[in-house]
Order: sequence, then structure tokens, then C-alpha cells
Amino acid sequence: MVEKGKRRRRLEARDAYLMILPFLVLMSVFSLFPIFQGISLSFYRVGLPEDKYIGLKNYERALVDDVLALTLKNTVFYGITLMLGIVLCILPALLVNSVAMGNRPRLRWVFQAAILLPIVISWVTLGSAWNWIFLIGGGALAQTGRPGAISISPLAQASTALPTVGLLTVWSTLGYNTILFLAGLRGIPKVMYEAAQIDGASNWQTFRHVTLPLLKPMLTFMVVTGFIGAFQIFDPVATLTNGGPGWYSASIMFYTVRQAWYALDYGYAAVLGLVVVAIVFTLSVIQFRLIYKRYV
Amino acid sequence: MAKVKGRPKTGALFRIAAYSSTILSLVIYFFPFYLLVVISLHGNIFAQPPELVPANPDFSGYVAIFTNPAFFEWIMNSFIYTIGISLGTIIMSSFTGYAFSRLDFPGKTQLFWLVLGLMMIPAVASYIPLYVMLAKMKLLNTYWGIIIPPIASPYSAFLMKQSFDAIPKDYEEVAYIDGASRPTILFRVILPIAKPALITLALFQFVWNWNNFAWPLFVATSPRMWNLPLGIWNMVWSYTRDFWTLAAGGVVLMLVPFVMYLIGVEYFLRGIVVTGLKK
Amino acid sequence: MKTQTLVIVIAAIVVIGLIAGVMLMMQRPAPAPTPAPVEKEITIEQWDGLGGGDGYVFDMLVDDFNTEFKGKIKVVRVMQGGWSDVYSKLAAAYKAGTGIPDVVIMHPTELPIFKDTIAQPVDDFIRWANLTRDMFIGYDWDLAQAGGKMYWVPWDVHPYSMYVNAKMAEEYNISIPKAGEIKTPEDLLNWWRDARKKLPENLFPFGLPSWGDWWLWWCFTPDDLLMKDGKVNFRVNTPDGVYAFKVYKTIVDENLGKAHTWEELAAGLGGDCLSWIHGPWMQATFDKVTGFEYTVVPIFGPRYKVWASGHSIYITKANGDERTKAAWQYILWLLKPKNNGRWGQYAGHIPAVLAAQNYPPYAALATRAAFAKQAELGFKMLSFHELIWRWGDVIQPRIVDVIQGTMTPEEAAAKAQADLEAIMAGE
Repeated sequence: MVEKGKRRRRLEARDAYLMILPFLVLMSVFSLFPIFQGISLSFYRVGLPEDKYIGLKNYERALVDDVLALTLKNTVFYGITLMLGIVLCILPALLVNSVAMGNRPRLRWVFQAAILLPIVISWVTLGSAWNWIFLIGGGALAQTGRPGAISISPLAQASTALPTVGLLTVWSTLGYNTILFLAGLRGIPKVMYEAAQIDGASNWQTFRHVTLPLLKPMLTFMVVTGFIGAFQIFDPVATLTNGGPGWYSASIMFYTVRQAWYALDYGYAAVLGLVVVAIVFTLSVIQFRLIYKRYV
Repeated sequence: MAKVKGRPKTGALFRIAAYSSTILSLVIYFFPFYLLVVISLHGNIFAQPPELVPANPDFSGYVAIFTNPAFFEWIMNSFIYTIGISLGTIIMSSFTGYAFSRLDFPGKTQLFWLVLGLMMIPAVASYIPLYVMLAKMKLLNTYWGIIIPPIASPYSAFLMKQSFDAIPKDYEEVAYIDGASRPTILFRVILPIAKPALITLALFQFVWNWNNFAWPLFVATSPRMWNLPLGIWNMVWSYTRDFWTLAAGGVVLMLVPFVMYLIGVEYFLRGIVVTGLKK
Repeated sequence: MKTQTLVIVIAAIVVIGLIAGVMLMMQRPAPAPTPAPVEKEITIEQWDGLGGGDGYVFDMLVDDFNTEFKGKIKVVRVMQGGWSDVYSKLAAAYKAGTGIPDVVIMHPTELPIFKDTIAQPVDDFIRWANLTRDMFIGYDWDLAQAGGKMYWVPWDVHPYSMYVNAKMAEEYNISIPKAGEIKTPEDLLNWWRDARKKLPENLFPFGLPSWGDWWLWWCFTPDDLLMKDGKVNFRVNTPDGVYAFKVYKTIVDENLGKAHTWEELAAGLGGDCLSWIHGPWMQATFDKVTGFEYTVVPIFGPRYKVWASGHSIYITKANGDERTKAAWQYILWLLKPKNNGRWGQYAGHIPAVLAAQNYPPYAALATRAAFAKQAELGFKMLSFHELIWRWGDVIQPRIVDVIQGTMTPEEAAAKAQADLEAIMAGE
């Protein structure tokens, strides 16, 4: 490796700042600044004509809020489910990438097209569709003589609503994660495999020492954004169950948005936002360390 | 010759996996979509047995969408927003990702975590401040107001950075020593290798921006600025829910992104030939 | 390579499309130069959250107005999104000090949030337009009074009422009650019990909302159990409050209902339920469900009253005198029986202008007339308090608990009461 002299370091820093300057400027103006203002609203009750300063009342409320506890629990559940979904997706990615599919392009096209469908259809449509699918399914089952006071639609029961929404979220992100894995796999320069072959490595050794390490950046990306994503889950919850029954399938993001909805309680929403950031940030740092073994 | 990469696999196991997963995907992915199409044609899916092939397909939902006087406006806006935001994001995140991946500079780690942290904060917290800011900057209800703010996308920068990280540094060391400037390195050396990631980002951006109706809804104060998803949503969403036209809208909306995805994935599965640098 | 060509072709199409589009847009005829008008045309803006079918109807009304008042007043109507977007954008516009519309259509329950800021008193309009209480639904008019001033112009009310699957009732020989025959929740339960005897095992008398639906709970209480005389006064943990929870439990225990999500109920009462209690807006959706026929049965009466909300016209006075006076003309025109009536006819809500309820095309529709009758029998709107939605969010999960059997009605009422009080303690 070339040793970096002082001059080179300075040149490098200058290049770097130049390259990220536009990003920084836009980010500061349109993200940082409004977000800081938004967070400062956590000390207020938002209203007209003026916001009312209430000090730490929103924070006190968060401490004893059992709905917050419930939605956090739900969100952790969603997070774990999504993680499992991500890990699962290495399989379809390898599959699509493999010779078996490569030699049967039509098979691959069908498979690819299928898993891509939920990515391109918005949840507004999917939510209603799945409600009706369960309705038809329920109707079909009812024909077989299974009555009951409680609906057998999994979205209508407290005990099954959460897992169902979780499952459908994983269902919808399968294609998306597969593509990311594929991009990661494809991004490995061919020479690396050739070198391994020349060195006489077996398939498993190649996977372990060539593929996996070079997949780590992508894997880190997927795990970190996957978990961040779990804390951002909103659309499936809103369109499938509207958080219900009660709050039993509500994610924390859903709860947060709902604070702002009819009562304009952006102050409390800001506190909830801080809770989310605290948790996700900590988790991300840990994830980075575990998978990536470094911080950047 | 289509080059397939990845570790070569023994035949039988993967063949079985290939067939069974394809059949499974047909059931759990195509069937809901097919049902959507049936609903959009007013097929009576609640009859016993459900009418899975509509006897009298009713295209009124599609007609309502396509003959809406504002339809062309919606499509135009959709294209403008999608292409504008996507292009801007791709360019900006390539530069930013490269800087974070390859270059060292004071404050790098802190800045990185700041950018990541921004991704984590629920956007709802900044709704009112951002609206007020856009209003004061006179960006509300303007094309610039819709296109510029989302370009600095932490998610995209993060994706590009990680993808660049996966490329061994040797590639550019040679070029750097030969005297190439950083942008040249970025464009001539790194990006070609990172094509899969680039295409992935382009696809994600395109579909996200195409389907996005929350952001244009936020910035727009006039229906003239609506894009296609917004236009369709307005048609079907009220106290009542016109599920049938909503389904038709869903089908109409997904066509362009779907085709783009299919082509994009094909492109980077088939068309990439990675040239190694001569060592 | 084939895919490469394809990509190029698509890119070319996109670019050509863009260019064509831009050219077409630029070619849009510039407004024909009109001779300088004696008075210039005033443009006023209306914000609301009316999309879908409601939106079409309002667009129709606005178009009619603009045609009639061409050259004098032009109304630009903007659906700002869902109702939540409307409220947030109004608040943000107010704080930014720009872009506030002239007229806003919202609900009475928003008054506590927007009073004296976005929602300005309308007494001067009422005087100018010569309007009196007996022209409107009295209850709505009364609710608009606050602190000696009137804050909105009644546009419509939309109470809950009972939908009945007409075909199912006929098939199983279940008699459909007349308007007002069912006076209490107990009467309702009895009617369901009768239906339960006649229906086969896989069908149910009532479509139970799986999310609980605290608006339905509101129907089962005789009074407003949250506020009294304009002050907060929680009486959820009282016999009346507990009873409202008990109704749900009875439905579940006696197999009188099957829980469905809202989308399922919207698809024709889930396909297996005889009745549901919901708002007039469902008519537009039900009319499209193939093979579903329904009637509307107005319920309750003197003591028990169904939930209702309504649409109210607020005047912001934010853009100067000229535009406010133009807005007055617009609103007065809206209140004409023909216009208020058409709103009810197409959108299904009940016109607040009594004369509009007699507008023949409206009165001729059986289910519309039934809802008008429901309004007559009585309804009660939610409490007017800026925290009403937080209160509701506390009651609704308890209903779910009762339905799921994890809480008894007494426990549910007690917990709801405790949570409500905790909310106010933190204020």
C-alpha cells in the first residue's frame, strides 16, 4: 500500500469535501434543519395560533405510555421477521444467479417477474387486495362448515393480525432483497473467482473466502436498512389493518404518524421519533460492528 | 454468450429448487396480482364460487382513469418527477458514496453516522417545519420544490458507498498513480464495475419516485402538480372506497415500473462483463 | 444485444414522450384576450379532503358555480389529501402566513383546533345572507355556536344508521324493522336474536367491526359520556358506559355477529352478515358491489342517539375583504336547495338545509330518504374538544379487548376511564 504523505492527505480531504459538498448543502437545508426544528417541537403542544410550551410533559407521557410499549414490541417483531426475510433471500438470489436458472431463462423470467410484483404495486392497492383475498378464502372455508363468532380473517383477530402483517411485509420485500443480493453477487469481479480457481479452491471454500467477504458490504447495508425499515413500517399496517384490531398490529411509525393526524400532536410525535432514533442508531452501530467489523 | 457468475452448482438439487420455487412464486405472487386484475374488471369475486374469470369484464375503471381530462398532466408530471429526482439522486449519491468509500477526511465517521441517523428519523416530525420552510422559500407547489429536496438521499448514498466498498482498492491505485483525477477514476474505473449496484439504485429510485404520492401531495397545493398515483388516488379515495377503480389504477400504475424492472434485472444479469485490470 | 436495444428504444420513447408533452403543454391556448371587464374576476380557493365520489360531486358543483358567475368569481377547489393532510397543511399554512384558502370544508370536531385562527366567526355572513336557524338542521346550527358567536355554516350531517342485506332478509323471512321501531340497544339485540334463530349457522345477524369502532360504541350510550355542559366530565365507568361495552360482549357471547375488517364489510357486509351500522358514505360503495342489495333502517330515538359527524363550511377571512365577500356569494349559492340537495343526492350525506332535503331527486332515493329520517330521529356528534381523537384512541382498544374476551365490560370501562383521566392529568 502506498503510504500517504501529508500533502496527499490534504488533497484527499479537499477532493472529498468537494465531492460531498452539494449533498451536504441539500441535506442540511432540507433535512437537518427541518428535523431539528421538528425535534424541538417535542417541548411543545403544537397548536394555533401558537405552539404552547410544555417542557418535559411529552417525555413524561412517553415513559408511562403503554401503547408505546406495545407498538415497540410489535416493531421489534416486525424487525426480526424482516431480518429472517433478508437472510432467506440469499437463496433466491443464488438460485437466480445459478446455472440451473441460467440455462432455463423462461423459468427464471417467471420467478423474477413474480417476486418483483409487490415492489411495483403500491400498498394502497395491495392492502385492499389482501383483505379481499382473506375474505374470499374465509368464504371458501366457511362453505366447508366452519362457523364462529370471531372472524377467521387473520387480519381481524388480535392474535393473528401482527404475524399476518409481518408475513405479508416479508412477502412484499422478497424481490427487493433478492435484487440487492444479486447486485452484491454480481458486483464481485470475475477475476476473484478466477484467482480462487487457479489456487484450487473448492466451491465451499470459494463461497466462504471469496463470495461471503465481498458480500459483507451489501449484507451490512441490507441488515442495517432492513432494521431501520422495520421502524419505518407504515404502509402495510395502515392499509391492511389500520393498526388494528386496537393497536395490536400497529408499528411505532404508525403510532407516531397517528399522533400528528387528527390532533396535530407533532410534539409527541417528535418524542416518539427520538425514541426510534435512539433505538435504531444503537442497533445500527452494533450491526456494523458485528458484520462489518468496523464503523465505516 | 451469457455469462453466469457465482459458484457453479450441482444439477439435481438446484433444479428441484428452481422448479419448486417457481411454482410457489406463481401461487403466492401471481395469484394475488391476478385477483387484482379480476377486481379491476368488476369480476364478482364474492360469488360462491368466486368468479375468477369475469364473465362480463367491465373496463369502466380503466376508462375513467384514461379519459380523465387531467390524465395527460398526471403522466407528464410523473415522468418529470421520476426522471428528475432519480437522475439527480444517482449522480449525487455516486459522488457522495465514492467520497465516503475511498477517501479519508476529517470528520468522516461522524458525518457518515449523521447521514445514517437522518434516515432513521420519522419524516412526520418535520412535516410542519418543512412545509413552512418551503413556503417561505417559495418552493411550494413548484417543480423545483418537488425535485430538489429528495435528491440528497441518505439511503442512496449509503447503498453506493457499500457497493464501492466491495471493489478492491487495487483497481484505482493503478489509475491514481498514473495521474488520473478522482472524477475520472470514478467514472472510468469504479462505476463500470459497480454497474449492478448502479442499475439497482436506478431501478429502486425510479419505482419509488414513480409510485410516490406522499411527497408530491405534501408539496403540491394545486391539482395541476399531481402525478399519476395522486390523480388515481383522488379518484378512488374518500369515505367510500372505489376498490374497483383502485385496482384498475394499481394495474395501470405498475406497468411502467414492472417493465423497467424486468429489463433492468435482465440487463445486469446478462450484460455485464467485468474487465479486470491488467496486474 | 437485444436487451440493450430494448433499453435504447424505451429511452427514446420516454424522451420523445417528454418532448411531445412539453410541446403540447406549451401549445395550450392562452386565455383568449377578453375586453377589459368592468369588475375583475375574483379567484377564491377552497380546501377540503373530499376525494373519490364526494370529490366528483363537489367538482360538479364548483363547475356550475364558475359557469354561472363567470367573469365575477372563480372558485378553485383543492383536495389537499386525506383529512389529516388538510388539518396539517392548514396549520402549516397558518404558521407560514401564506397560502391560506378562503373557504375550508371540514368537520365540526375541528373547531376546537382552529377556532379564531382558520375558523373565523360567520355571524356577519349569516346576517348578510338572511339565514335563520329554522332553515337548517337545528342541532347542527346550535353546535356551531361558541362563546356567543357562530363558527361554521352547516353543510351536511352524516349519522350512522343500520344497513340491512335485503336479499338475505327476504330469503330467511326476517322482517325489516320500520324507522324508529328499534329504540334502544336492547331492541336491537332482540331483533338480532330473532334473526339468529332464522339464519343458518354460517350466516350472522351483525357485521361486527373487528377494530371495535368506538363511533359504534358512541351509539350505544344515551348521552355524551365524555363532556358535559362544555366541560370535561368522563363518565365512562358508569352503568351507561359499561352497558355500551356489554352490548359487544352480548353479540359475541350469543353468536350474534361475526368480526370483519372494514374492507370486508365494505364488500357487501362481508358476504355473510345481515346488518351493519355505518355512515351514509357506504351507499356509494355498496351500489357497486355486484349482487348486493340493501335497505337502510333508521334506529334509536329519543333516548339513544346514533353517532354523527358532518361537513361544515368554515370561512377564513385570510385574504382580505374582497375575497371574503366573494366567498360569501359562493357559500350562499351552495346553500340553495338545488345545490345542497344535489350534494346529498350524489354523495349520500344529508343536506343540512331542510329545503334541500325535499329536493326531489334526493328525496326520491329510498336509502337517501332513510338517512334523512335517521337525522330526524336524532344523532349525537362527538365531543368538541381538541383531544377527542386521543380519547377515542383510548376507548377503541378496550372494545377490541371485550370482543376478544381479554377484558370484561367492567374492566374495559374502568381502564378506559383511568386512561382518560390520565390524559387530562398530564395536560
